Amino acid sequence: MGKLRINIGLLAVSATLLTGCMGIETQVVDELQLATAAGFKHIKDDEIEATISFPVFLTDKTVKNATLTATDTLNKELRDRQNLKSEKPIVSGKLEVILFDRQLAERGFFDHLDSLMRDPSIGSKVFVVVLDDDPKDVLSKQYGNKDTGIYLSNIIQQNIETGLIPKTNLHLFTYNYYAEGKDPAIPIMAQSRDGVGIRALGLFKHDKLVHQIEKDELFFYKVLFDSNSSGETMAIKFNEDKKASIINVESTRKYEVLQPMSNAEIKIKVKAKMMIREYNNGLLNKDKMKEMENFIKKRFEEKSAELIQQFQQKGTDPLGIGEQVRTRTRNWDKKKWDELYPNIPITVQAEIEMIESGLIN
Amino acid sequence: MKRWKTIRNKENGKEQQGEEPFQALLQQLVNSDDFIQFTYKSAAGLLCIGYYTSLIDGKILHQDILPNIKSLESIHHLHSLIPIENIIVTSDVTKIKDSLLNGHMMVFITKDIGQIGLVRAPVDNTREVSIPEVEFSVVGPKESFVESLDKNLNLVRKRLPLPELKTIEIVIGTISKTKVSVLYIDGIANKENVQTVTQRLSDLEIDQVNDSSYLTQLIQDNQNSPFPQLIDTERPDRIASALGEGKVAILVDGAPHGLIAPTNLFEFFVAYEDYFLNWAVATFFRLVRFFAVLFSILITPIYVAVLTYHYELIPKDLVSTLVTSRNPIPLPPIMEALILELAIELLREAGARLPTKVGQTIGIVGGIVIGTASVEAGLTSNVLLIIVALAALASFTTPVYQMGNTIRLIRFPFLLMAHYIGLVGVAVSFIFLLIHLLRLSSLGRPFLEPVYPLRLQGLVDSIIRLPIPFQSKRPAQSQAEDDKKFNAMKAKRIKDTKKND
Amino acid sequence: MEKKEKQISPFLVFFLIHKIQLGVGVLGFQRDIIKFAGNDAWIIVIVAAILVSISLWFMYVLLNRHQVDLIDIHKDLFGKWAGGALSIIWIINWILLAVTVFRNYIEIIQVWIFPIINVGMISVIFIILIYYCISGGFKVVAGLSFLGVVIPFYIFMTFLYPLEYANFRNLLPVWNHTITEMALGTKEMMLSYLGFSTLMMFYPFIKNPTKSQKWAHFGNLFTMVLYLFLMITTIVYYSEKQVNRYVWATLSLWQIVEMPFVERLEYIGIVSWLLIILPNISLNIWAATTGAKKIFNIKSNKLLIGLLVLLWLFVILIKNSDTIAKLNQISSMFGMGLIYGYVPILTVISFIILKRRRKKDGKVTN
Repeated sequence: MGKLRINIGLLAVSATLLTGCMGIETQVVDELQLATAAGFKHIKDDEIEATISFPVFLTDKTVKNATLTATDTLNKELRDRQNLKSEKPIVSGKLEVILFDRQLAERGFFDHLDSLMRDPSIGSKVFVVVLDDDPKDVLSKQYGNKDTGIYLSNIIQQNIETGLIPKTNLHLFTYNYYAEGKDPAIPIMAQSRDGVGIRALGLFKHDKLVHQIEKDELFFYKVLFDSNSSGETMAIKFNEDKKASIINVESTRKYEVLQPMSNAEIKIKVKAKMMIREYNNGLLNKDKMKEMENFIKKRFEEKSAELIQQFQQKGTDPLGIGEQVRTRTRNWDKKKWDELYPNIPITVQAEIEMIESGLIN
Repeated sequence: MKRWKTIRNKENGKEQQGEEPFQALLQQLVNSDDFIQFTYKSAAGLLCIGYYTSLIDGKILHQDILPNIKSLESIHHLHSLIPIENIIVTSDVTKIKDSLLNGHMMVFITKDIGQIGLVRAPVDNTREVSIPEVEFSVVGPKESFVESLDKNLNLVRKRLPLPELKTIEIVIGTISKTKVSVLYIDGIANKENVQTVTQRLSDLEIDQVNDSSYLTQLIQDNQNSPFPQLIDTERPDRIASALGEGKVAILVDGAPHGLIAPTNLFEFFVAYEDYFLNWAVATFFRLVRFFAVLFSILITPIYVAVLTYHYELIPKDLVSTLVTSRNPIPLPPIMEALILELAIELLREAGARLPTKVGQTIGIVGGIVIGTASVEAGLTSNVLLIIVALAALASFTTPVYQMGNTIRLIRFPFLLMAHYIGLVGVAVSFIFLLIHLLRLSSLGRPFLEPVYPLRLQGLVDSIIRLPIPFQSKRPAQSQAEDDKKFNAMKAKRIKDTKKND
Repeated sequence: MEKKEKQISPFLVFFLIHKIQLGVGVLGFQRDIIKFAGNDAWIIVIVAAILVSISLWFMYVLLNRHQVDLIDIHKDLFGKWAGGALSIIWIINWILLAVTVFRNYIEIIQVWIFPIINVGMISVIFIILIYYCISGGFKVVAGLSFLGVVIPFYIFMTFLYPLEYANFRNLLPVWNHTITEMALGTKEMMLSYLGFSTLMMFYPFIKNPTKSQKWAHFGNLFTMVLYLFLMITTIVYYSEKQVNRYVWATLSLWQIVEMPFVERLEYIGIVSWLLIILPNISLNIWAATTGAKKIFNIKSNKLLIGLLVLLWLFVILIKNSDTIAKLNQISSMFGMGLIYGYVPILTVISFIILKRRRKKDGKVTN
């Protein structure tokens, strides 16, 4: 009987405690403004303009895109200012895309990212993107029956999955930012006539945008970047009327570092199996295939070397060549490597095999 | 009344003292209007017969007793006159009283005053053995217990024709005088378990036992737990197999359900039909049932917790579905959920209280009309409606009815905790449940037995059911004296005669 | 030795040892080790486990010789008063460990889930759970430890998701650090394994306690496997300087996980972790209660309530993360000292005293 009384007592105590003062705020999902995209634009000095876009769900199952803009110096201050104008509290737990305009990217934006990393409600899979246009402008437009944040994130997600751009998100950005011997690279997006699209891949030194890889060169970058990759496509022009489009079926990339931490040559070996998607020069026979293999090999090696040279000049290392060296040396010295990096001869050796030509030859 | 007195006065005035209790008894009996008594003139003087009409079979009375009894000379000759084997002659007043109330009639003649003959002629109006309704099975035996202890014992004994099958009869209830039988197989069942059960039963202090479920509530280890700690079943085959596993069964007169002890949590999710199906199918069904229980307990609380506190957890593709469905609703998720859960409980309760046919209509009307209307009126979201309906459906898959009720009950504390502290509350409730289950025992044996303490011997037939040869040993929980059921090696071998092809 | 009904089978020691080692530290142990040992941190996980195994062996040598719990060993070797005083040190140690785990967990809830939660209230709820568990006796505590390993095991599967972003080159080059760095790292790592000293209290509750030694070592091994898995995942998922930014690297691993029906697993993880730490706290408090009951001869229910009130007071008095860090430091140094200093010394003392006694009573016993 005594036990029963204790149990009832416990229940009573806990019940009264619970109904009273747990002191936590409810965040009912439909009473929140779920920001899906946040855009930051440089105004002057420390001042930035922040725009968030969020979906407004209407009862007829349509989604309307809405935005709020505020200007301040501190990230969380901005949120408060936006909240002043908002019907429901704004939360960032469903953030999908973070946009920085080019000016801010060139000045460096890690402080802003830092406040986002500190916030436990923001996931690591958020896309960080540089925008060539005014974020406010892009975010306030509606594209289809969804809010702009989801729209942008779908574009990036889709392109990562099909293999056109390398994987990117907040975690990878911070990884590369902190990594010794590797620098971040994130997509640059811009408005076009039919919506928003990925224009290039922006390369960073620390958190500052220093260079970019254009659309056409992404193929080479992607094959060099991933140790195993597939799905990249490229158009090649042999001359004015000989054109072909190829797709990378499967490629592997290996580094050969003969003498780490010295001026000795670093070799990047790429083996790729490719397939023809489009060809407009009559029948494809064995000779032509062979010819094409050689052509692609040459072009690949040239282009890659050119890219790497650009990286070296700009002092950025998006491929992680430094990381390759670091994991091959004991007593890694970052300073020494930073001095060495611009002058190391880096060569690319490609081995291309055309395996398929589609349904017809 | 007067007539009885006159007999006594005429024939034997001396024995007045010894007659006193008998006199009192008679007085008591005659007070009831369904007690019939009349006097004959027989070969040996006056012959009196008395009985309760409501308890005596008129056919036996008219065909076997009345025609033969007239020539009675001495009370001790009853045996030779009446073709009924169950005749006692006694002067013990309590015995007379009990027998009268159990369907005996009493006969006494003036010659042998003080000696009463008791002839058994009970009317048998229990219902026939019928198809099990609570634990229905598509395949397998289709007989279930009825309200008569004798018939029930017969059903069990038919399945276990063993002299080792022992019963201990105990009468419980100061006014109901219910006969309770404890069944066990000597040499298999653990003596300690039998001892505990009989001990607990005979120690009971209660006036009435109208059903076996009274006993479940009274003799289980923790009476405040919502979890039943004895299985009740209406299937004689289930009782027989439990006895074979070394457990103890209790049958109660007037109750169409027998009890089994000791038991564990997992047995409550065993439908006896599992044993009639292929092991893979049966295992799949069992897993479905366990999933259903977890689903039923957790899904609504998780919905409430996530929508109230943890919007981050909702995948981005689901956000719009959830928000759109919740947009027109003015109530917080907990109210919404409670309204729906209560509606379902009301439907269930109404269906259970009404006659079957009306009940079905209520279910359909309530389910469709109330559900659709409340969504349209903007009181509940259709996503939650689906969730609650599925959770309710899942809770009805529990084979043992009592456990099904428990599961529906424990959802509510989960729901409230989810509202107060979100997922942390769900975890707290879940752990509370785990500790509670760990603390429970059935006849002193742990309630989570094959899982904790871990017993491989029992695991083969708990959450999963492996092929029959794997179950060659009795589960450790029953602590059987002889734990080997059969030879597993021999059971596996199929001794076909060699084929000629 | 305790009554047979109260005893547990020796293989459950596996779960008890594992459970008491795997507490709240696992959610953020990586930073302190990687700080010293970088990409070689995984080696340290193994080295520390070996050292722990040695210390476990010492404990078993001591316990197998006496066949009673620590309190009785103290009483036997040093008499009622001195022995009791020594026992109180251990009781403080266990309470401190419980407070550390408890407070750290609540801090995680504060930081990750509910920034403004009433610490007093939420800890009352947890303490009610702990009370309900311990008042059921040792078997219930052991049972919860068992279920606390088996049920939440699914969350370790989810750590496979971050491997999508793994960079296995980060593990190279192997052995890239000096012995001093490795030693410092090992010291830090050993703190993550602490807590198994409760073994010295539940030893008499084991059937065939001598046979349980191998299970204790297996439990330690299992803990090591989990730590190793997490450490390697961390090394390949983060870059070295990045880890230093994350207080709870394990939790941050979950931030990347997205499943079709749920995103952001860290919330699920933190909530499931309650089932992992609750047996841990219960076991520590149980050890403290049982010990104190033996010394002071108070009814265990009252004592338990008293200790839980004490635990609650500690938890609400510790307010900010600095104090929590200090608490972690104190409790871990204290625990380390006891296990690696006190236990071996006690073993030696017991060896000497018993030998001397045997010489004295030689004639009697023979």
